[in-house]
Amino acid sequence: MAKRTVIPFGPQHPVLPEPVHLDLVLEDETVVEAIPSIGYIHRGLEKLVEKREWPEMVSVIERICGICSFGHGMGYCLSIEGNMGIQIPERAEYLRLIWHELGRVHSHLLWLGLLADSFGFESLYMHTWKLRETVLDLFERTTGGRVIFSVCKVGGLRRDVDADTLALMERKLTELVPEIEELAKVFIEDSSVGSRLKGVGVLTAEEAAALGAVGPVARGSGLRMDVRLEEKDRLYVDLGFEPCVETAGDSHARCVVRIRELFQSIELIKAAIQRIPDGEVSVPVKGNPEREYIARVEQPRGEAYYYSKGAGEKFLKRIRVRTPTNANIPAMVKTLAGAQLADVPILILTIDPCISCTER
Amino acid sequence: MTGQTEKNQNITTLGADGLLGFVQERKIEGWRLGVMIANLADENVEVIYVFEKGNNLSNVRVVLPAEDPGIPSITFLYGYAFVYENEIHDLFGVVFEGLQLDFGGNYFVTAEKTPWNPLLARVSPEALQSDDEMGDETGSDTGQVSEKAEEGGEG
Amino acid sequence: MAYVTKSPWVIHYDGSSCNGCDIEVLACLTPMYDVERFGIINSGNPKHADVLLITGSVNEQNKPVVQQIYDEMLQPKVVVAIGACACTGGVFRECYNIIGGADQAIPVDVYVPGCAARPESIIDGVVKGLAVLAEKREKVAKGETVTEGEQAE
Repeated sequence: MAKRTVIPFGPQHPVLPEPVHLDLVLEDETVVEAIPSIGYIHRGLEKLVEKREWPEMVSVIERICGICSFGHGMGYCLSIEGNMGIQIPERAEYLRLIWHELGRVHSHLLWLGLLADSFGFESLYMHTWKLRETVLDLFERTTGGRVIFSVCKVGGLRRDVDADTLALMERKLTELVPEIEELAKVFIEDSSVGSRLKGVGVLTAEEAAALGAVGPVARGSGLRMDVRLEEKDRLYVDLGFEPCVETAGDSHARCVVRIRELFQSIELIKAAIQRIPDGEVSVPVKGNPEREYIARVEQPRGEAYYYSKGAGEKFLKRIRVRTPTNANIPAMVKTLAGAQLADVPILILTIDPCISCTER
Repeated sequence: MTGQTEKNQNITTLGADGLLGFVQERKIEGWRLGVMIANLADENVEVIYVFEKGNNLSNVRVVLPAEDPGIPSITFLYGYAFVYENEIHDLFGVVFEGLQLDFGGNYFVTAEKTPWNPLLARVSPEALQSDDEMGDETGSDTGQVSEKAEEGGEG
Repeated sequence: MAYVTKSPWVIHYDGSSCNGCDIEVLACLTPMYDVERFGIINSGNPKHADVLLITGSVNEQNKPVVQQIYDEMLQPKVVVAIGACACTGGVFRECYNIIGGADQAIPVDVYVPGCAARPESIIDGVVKGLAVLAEKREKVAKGETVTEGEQAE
């Protein structure tokens, strides 16, 4: 047996903007075992419910993560709305869908860029992030923020979007499609990209299910799993939503799932803009949450849970958020075992880790 | 974004001894473990297990006495439960018996003393003296208890 | 930009931020804002870097990491705290695991406000930091000791 070496990976590592620490146990160049340790960005914001009133908590929960911030804000609002039995106006539901899917486009473009960076294709990284700025401009135009939006509130939304702006959004996204297609061709067909991704970090459907993988990681391994589908969400079902599933289970498949979701999200937004009804975007909210409620949202990285427990007071008893990266860590550890040291950054990236989500 | 039905929100309460049977049943029926949630409520710590299968949630609550919260680990059935069990152990002081991949209380290193479980401290003042002798395997677990006791003693 | 006499390399560390400022720091490096035209390169190695960009607040576990990165950097060096969390702790200030802003661990030269800080203000903060860097470089050249944490904003 070759001599075993332990190589610490992180917390400060060029491949990820976030701190994650792994102890990689190596035999020569092969990783035998990876032991994750976290806590570098644990803030403990769930316990802030004791100091912030529940309507204020939206802005705190939104700051769990600056990448999927809209989804987090929305998930918290869904949990409280379910808790209090609030039905939000239809227009607000449509706008939430539009922003949530726009968030997915921005998140997946961001991830594609980081992936390109991880295999050393810097011009591809730069090009991807250039396209992402179009999406951020749309966010800024409609919400006022580039990464933290603060538009969701319990009972609906803080602001409406006028018809002209929606038309502009549709036009901009239509223009974006051919540019993404060009980019997708490189990611999917380029032989040098393929040689870094194909067959790397294979996770079979059985393994993905046994390790509790969620989101694009599960879908890349052939699991037809998506909260947007499972919750029998009326809007998504009406818009003909069907999850993107790939069967290969390797890094390339996870990449393809996300690229297909980019196009799918743009189609969903465009269809929603066509159908959006007129009306109010929020309803007045009275009283306080009194019971327990569990809401689920399909974030760009996978399924997230939002549990709220109220006691009829201004302060909630408890908030618990289970983020997708938290559920994908066992899958990441599994794909790392047996991998080459040089592939470690790619494997860590293919679960699209969001450490600030994980540690809250 | 609606569509969550009322029936999904029911949380059945079980004793710690009935937990494994329930979880085993879920496992055989092919449910996924969604999340584990711990709450500190009065004299008790409660652990909520959320299982999901398609559109359905199946939830179970186990109420444990805060002085001595012990519960069997479900990592032998759902391996990925280790992320939740370590977190709940570190923050709420719940001891999971048979936890595979135990971080020994070092999953979250926090500025504030954890676990936040005032009752846990009261029962083990003797931990104060034995603080230095703590072995590596069990150290952090009881070590944290004694730190809490120390704090309680000052206040 | 007449005072820029060399290409300042930056290193970025995420304290316990929400990622919002981090992706804005990265956005500064990409084609829309493109700080590389000023010769600014994101380096992964503390010993290569002149400017430490720190986002997010400091907690118990990352404090030694932040201090180590700072110590590894060679003089003259400048620290730019980016975003409300790195300045004061921000929205997470009252969280049990947060010690406070980046200045609780290391001396900070420039504070960039915002939640999340916009790329324009990040670039502005780095440029302010460069002025501090030039001052420190002169002091180092004269053999004087460099005082830490001169506040520019």
